[in-house]
Amino acid sequence: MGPRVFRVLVASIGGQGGATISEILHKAVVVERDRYAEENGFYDEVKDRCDLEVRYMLPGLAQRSGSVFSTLTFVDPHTSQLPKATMYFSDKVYSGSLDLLLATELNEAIRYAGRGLLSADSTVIVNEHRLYTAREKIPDNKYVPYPIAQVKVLKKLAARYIGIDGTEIAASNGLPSVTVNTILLGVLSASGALPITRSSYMNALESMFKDEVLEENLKAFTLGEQAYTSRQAGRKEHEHLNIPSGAVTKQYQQPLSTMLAERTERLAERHGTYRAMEYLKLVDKILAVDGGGRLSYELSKNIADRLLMWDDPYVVARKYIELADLYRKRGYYSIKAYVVILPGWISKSLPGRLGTLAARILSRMKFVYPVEVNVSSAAGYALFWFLAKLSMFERRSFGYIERMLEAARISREIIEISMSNYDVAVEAARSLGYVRGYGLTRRRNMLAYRWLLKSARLLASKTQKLGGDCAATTLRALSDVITLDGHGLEMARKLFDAFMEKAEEGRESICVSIPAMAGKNFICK
Amino acid sequence: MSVISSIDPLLAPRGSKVLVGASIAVLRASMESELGYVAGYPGAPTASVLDVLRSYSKILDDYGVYFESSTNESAAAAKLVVSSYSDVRGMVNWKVVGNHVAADVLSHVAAMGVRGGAVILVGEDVGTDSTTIEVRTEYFAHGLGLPVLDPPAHLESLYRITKHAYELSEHASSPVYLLFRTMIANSIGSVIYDGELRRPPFNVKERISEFRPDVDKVAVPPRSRVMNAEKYSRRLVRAAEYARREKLNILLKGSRTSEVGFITHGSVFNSLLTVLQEYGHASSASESDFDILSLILSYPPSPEDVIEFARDKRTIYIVEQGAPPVIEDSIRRILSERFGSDIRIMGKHDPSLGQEGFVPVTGELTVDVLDEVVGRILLDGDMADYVDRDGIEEVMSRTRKLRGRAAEAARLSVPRTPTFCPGCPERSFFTLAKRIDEVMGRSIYAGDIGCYSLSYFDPFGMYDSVTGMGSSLDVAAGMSRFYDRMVIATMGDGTFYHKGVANVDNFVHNYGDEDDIHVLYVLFENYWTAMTGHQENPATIAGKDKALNMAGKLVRRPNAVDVIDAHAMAKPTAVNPYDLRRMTDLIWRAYRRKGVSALVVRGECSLARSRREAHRLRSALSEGKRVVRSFFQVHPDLCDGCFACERYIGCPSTGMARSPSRGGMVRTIDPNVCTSCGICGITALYALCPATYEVKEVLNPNLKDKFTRALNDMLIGLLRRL
Repeated sequence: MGPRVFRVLVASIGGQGGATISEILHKAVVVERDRYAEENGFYDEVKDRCDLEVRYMLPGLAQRSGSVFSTLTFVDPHTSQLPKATMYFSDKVYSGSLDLLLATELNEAIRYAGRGLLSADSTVIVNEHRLYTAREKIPDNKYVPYPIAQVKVLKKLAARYIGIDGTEIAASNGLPSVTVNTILLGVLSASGALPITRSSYMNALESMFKDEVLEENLKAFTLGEQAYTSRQAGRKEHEHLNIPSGAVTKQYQQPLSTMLAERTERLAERHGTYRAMEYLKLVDKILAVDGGGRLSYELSKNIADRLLMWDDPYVVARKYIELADLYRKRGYYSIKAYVVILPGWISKSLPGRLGTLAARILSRMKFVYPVEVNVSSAAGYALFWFLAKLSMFERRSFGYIERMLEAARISREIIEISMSNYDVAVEAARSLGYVRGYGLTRRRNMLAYRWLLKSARLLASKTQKLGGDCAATTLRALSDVITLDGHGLEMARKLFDAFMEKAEEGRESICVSIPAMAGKNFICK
Repeated sequence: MSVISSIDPLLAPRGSKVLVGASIAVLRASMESELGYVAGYPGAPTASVLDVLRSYSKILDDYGVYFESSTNESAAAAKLVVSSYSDVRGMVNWKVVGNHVAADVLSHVAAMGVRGGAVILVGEDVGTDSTTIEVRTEYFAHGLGLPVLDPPAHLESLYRITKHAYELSEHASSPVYLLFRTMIANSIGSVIYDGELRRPPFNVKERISEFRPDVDKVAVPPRSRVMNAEKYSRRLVRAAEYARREKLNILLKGSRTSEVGFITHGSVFNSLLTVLQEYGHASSASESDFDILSLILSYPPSPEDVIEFARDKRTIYIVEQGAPPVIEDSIRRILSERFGSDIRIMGKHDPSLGQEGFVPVTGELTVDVLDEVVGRILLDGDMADYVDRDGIEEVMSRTRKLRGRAAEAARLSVPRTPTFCPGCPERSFFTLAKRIDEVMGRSIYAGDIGCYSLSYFDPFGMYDSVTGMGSSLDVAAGMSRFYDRMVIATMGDGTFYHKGVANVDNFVHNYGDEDDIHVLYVLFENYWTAMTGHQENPATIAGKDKALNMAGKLVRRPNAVDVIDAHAMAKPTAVNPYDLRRMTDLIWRAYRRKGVSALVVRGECSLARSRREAHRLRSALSEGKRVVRSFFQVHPDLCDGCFACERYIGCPSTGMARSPSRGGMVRTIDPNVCTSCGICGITALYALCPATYEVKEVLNPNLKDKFTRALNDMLIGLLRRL
C-alpha cells in the first residue's frame, strides 16, 4: 500500500528548543531526499512534489515550562516508487504510529508513551535528565516517579531505547543547555534510526545556524555521536542517572552502620560533638530494643535528619560564611542572604533568661520582612561571624534541650508501639522523615506528627482486630494526607475517624489506601 | 532550486519550491491575488498569521497593503466594508471564538455582500488544543449565510484554495470563510509558487479618487430584508456553482465498491484516509477501496456534487467533526429531497435526537478517535460485505493491546501544566494573594483570558471562572452581590483594550455605594499580548506616551491608570510587582476596605524582557563592558525539603535534587533560568526558611569593584584573625 511513511514525534518543554530539532530534522529529510534522488537518477520525480513531508508544530503557549511537541511525517527518502497522485496524511500522530520518539526530558517521553503512540518497532531517544513539574514540586505531593522505573517502561514499550544524560554532557563540555537538542540529534544520527545520512544532518545544521552558534552545535552533534558509541561499548546501565543507584534499587541497601556513621559525623560537624554524643546514646537505646532491624534504621536516621539537625541561627550564619568564602575564591561575587529573624527562633537559641530578654526586645521590633544580609560585605560578614561565635550558647539553649527531650520522647513512644505492632512502628518512624521546615511550617508539622503518633498507638492497639498489615497501610495513608509543609491535618482527622468507625463496626480489612502512588515505582520526596 | 535555500519564503519567485508554514502560504496566495488590506486579532492557532504579517509589514507597506492589528475581532471585521464598496480584495483573521465578538459586524457585512474578494481566515480548533471552548465556524456561517472553505491538511492545497477563496468570494458576492484547522494551521511543508506577488490596483498609495454613496449598500430595513433573501437565493447558490465548476471538492473513486461511501470535509479527510490505510483499505496516495467525497466547500455543499456522488449509493457515512452537524443536516436535506428514503445516511450518534450513528457528536476526529468509529463502520455497517473482517479485527485488537500496554507508562507520567515564566510580573500578585487567602479565607477569582489564566494550574488554583475576553469585571460585579467574600477580577492589558474598557463603564453604571460590593480589580499591564507569543497591543511601550503597533508604526499610547480613572471607577494604584512589600500592603488594604479597589500591576512580560536583555548582555560581554549577572540560589545544606515555598511560587527555574546532608530532596534553582525577580525571597517574608540567597556576579569588573573587593577582603581577613 504505497511507500513507507515515517512518523517522528519530538517531545520537549517550552524553552528547550524542541521545535528547532524538528526543523533540523525536516530539512535533513529534504536534503537527504534530493541527494539520494540525484545520485540514483530520479530527481525529476521528486523535484515537483510538495506532499512528501510535513511537519506539525503545536506552538502551544508562549510560556516556558509547558509541555510542547512537534511531529514530522515523511515518505521514505530512499524510495523511488512514488505514486502519481497527491499523498495526504494525518500530520497528527496516533496509536502505534511512531517510528521515533525523541524527547528532551524523560517525563515527556513517558507522557507520549502513555498515550500508546509507541509500537513494537519504534525507537526512543531520550535525554534522561529530569526537570520536575509543578505537580511534583508542590508540598502536597510526597512522591515522584523513579526515573529508573520510567526508563524500564520505555524499554518495554519500544523496540529500541537509547537514553543519555544530554544535560550532563552539555554542562561538562561547557555548552549551553539548549544544545541538548543537537546532542540528541547526534545520537539519532549515530543510531541510524532514520534513513538519513550524517551529511544531510550536517547540511541541515549549517543551514540553521551560523558562526559561533554553528560551532557550538557541531560540537554538540559530535558529542552526541560519541555518547552513542560509548554507550554501545558497554557502559553500565543507568550509571549516568542523576540519583544514587543505592537509593533506587533497594531501599535499605546502605548498611545501618554506614548510615549511623554519616549522621554522627554530620551532627558533629554541624552542631558540635556534644550533640553527636547524645545522638549516639539515643541510638544505643533504640538498638538495645530493636537490634538493628528496619525500625532502628528508619528511626535513627529520621531522628538525626529531622529532629536533631536543627538549623538554628548559628548554623545558618556559619553556612553562609562558608558560602561567602567559597564564592570569593571564585571571582567577583556578592552574596545576599534573606534571613528572617523571628523572636522565637532567637529566644530558643539563647540560654535561659538571655533568650527571654532577646525575645521580648525582638517581638517589639516586629520583624515581618526578611533581613537582607550582604555576606560578601565586611559588615554582613561580621554580623554572621559574630552570630557563629555565639554558638557556644547553643548547648545550653532552650531549643537544644527541648529537641533532645522531644527526640527521646518520640523514640520511646515508637519503641512502645513496636511492642504491639512492628509494622506500624516502622511506618511511624518513616513518617518522622516528613517533619520538615522552619518556624511555622515546622510547628504545623510537629503538631501533625504528634497526632499521627497518637493514631499510630491507637491503630497498633487494634492490630488483632484489624489483622495483617492493615494498620500500617492506614497509617501510611494518614501520613500521606498531611502535606510536606504540615497542612491537611483536618483532612487526616476526618479520614481517621471514618476509618475507626468502620473498624468498630467490625468490617474487617478496610484498609484505607489513598496512596496509590506509594508503590515501588515512586520515590519518597 | 533546493527547498532549504536561503531565499525568503514569501518573496521567492514564481516556480520556486519553498519550505513554509501555513501562514506564509496563505499570505503569499493572498498577495498573488492582489490583497489590498489585511486585519486581524491574534489567537492560537492563527496567532502565527499576525506574526508573519508583522515580520513582513515592510513588504506589505511597499505593496500598498493596509495592515491593521485590530484590538478586537469586530474592529477587524468592519474592514470588510471596504470590499463591499469597491473592488479591493482583503482578508481578516481571528480564532474561532472571535466569531462571537465579530458576529454583530459580520451579520451586517454578510448582508451587504462584497464586490472585491473578501476572505475571513478563522483558526478552527475543535479539539480545543489552544482554545477554551469547543465551537464551530460552520454554524456561524450557516446562520449568517456565508460560504465556508475547508481545505485539507496539505499545504499546496491550502495555497491553491486560498486563491480560489478570493475568486469564489467575488463570484458569489459574499465574504467567504476560510478555515484554518489546527492540523493545517500548525503545519509546515513545501509549496511550489505558481504566481508572482501583485500590487493591488487600489491601495493605500493609489487611492480611489471618488466615492459614490449608495443607499442600497446600507444594511437597514427594508433593504436588509432583500439582502438577506438574496444571500440564500443567489449568493450561496453561486458559491456552490463555483465549487462545482472549479472541481474544488476531492472525490476518490473506490476500487472495491461504489454502493457505500464516505462524505467528509477539510482535514478530517486526512485522518479518514490514514485510518482506512491502517485497516488496509486505502493508501496515502489517494487510493481507496470505497468512494470518498471530501467537501472543500463545506457550506453550502454543492447539491450537484452530492447528488452525483449519491446516485449509485446504498449507504452513505458522513464523517463530520464537531457540533452541531451542519454538513450532515445539509446533505440529509439535499438527498431526501432527491432520493427520498432510498439512501441510508449514517452520521452522528446523537442521543439528544435519538439518532443512531457512528460518529461522536463533539470533539475532534483525530486518527485515534476515527480508529474506533471507522472500525465499527467497517465491521457492523453496510461495508461489512466488502471488508476483510479478520484483518480489521486484528488491527483493532493490536491497537487495543498497545493502549493497554501503555497504561503503565501513563501511570508513571506526571502532568506538566504550564505556569508563569520565571520572573513573571503576574506571579507575585498570585503569590501574595494566596498567602492572604490562607489567613483570611479564600477569595473568589473571576478570571479572564490571558497569561493570568495560568493561575488555574498548580500550585495556585486561583481561577474560578472564565467567560471570554474582557468580562471578568462583569462576573465580579455579579458574584460579589451574592457572596460575602472579596471578588478579585483579573485582566491583562490586551484583554482590557480588547473589550474590558467597555465593561468598566457597565460596572460603574450599576455600582451604588461602598457596602454594595467588595471587588478588587487587578489589571496586569505587561505591555504585550503575551500568551499568543508577544503581539503588540495599545499598551506596548515604545518611548514616552508612544506605543508600537504590529505594522511597526509609532502611535499614541493610552495610559491604563488614566483610562480607569477617567471612567470614574476607582483611583487605581500602579504598583511595581517586584516591590513585594508595597504589593502586600495594597492587597491588604483592598481586603480591609469594601467597595471597589483597582490595582494596576505594571511590569513588562519577563519573557519579552529577558530575551532582549540576554541579547544586550551578550553583546556587552563581548565588548568587555562591566556586566552584573544576578540569580537566586537555595543553600542545599539549609533547605529542609518542606517545599512550603513551592506552594506559593511554582517557578519553572526551580527543581529538586537529593539532599547532601539529610534524607529526602531539597529545592534547587537553575541559575541560567532564574531572572532574579526575588519572589523566592518570599520564603523569608513568610518566615518559611533562610535557605534562599541571591548571588550577584560581576563580569569584567571595573576599578571600583576591585577596590571595594580588596577593602572588604582586608576587613574580613582582620576579622578572621581575631
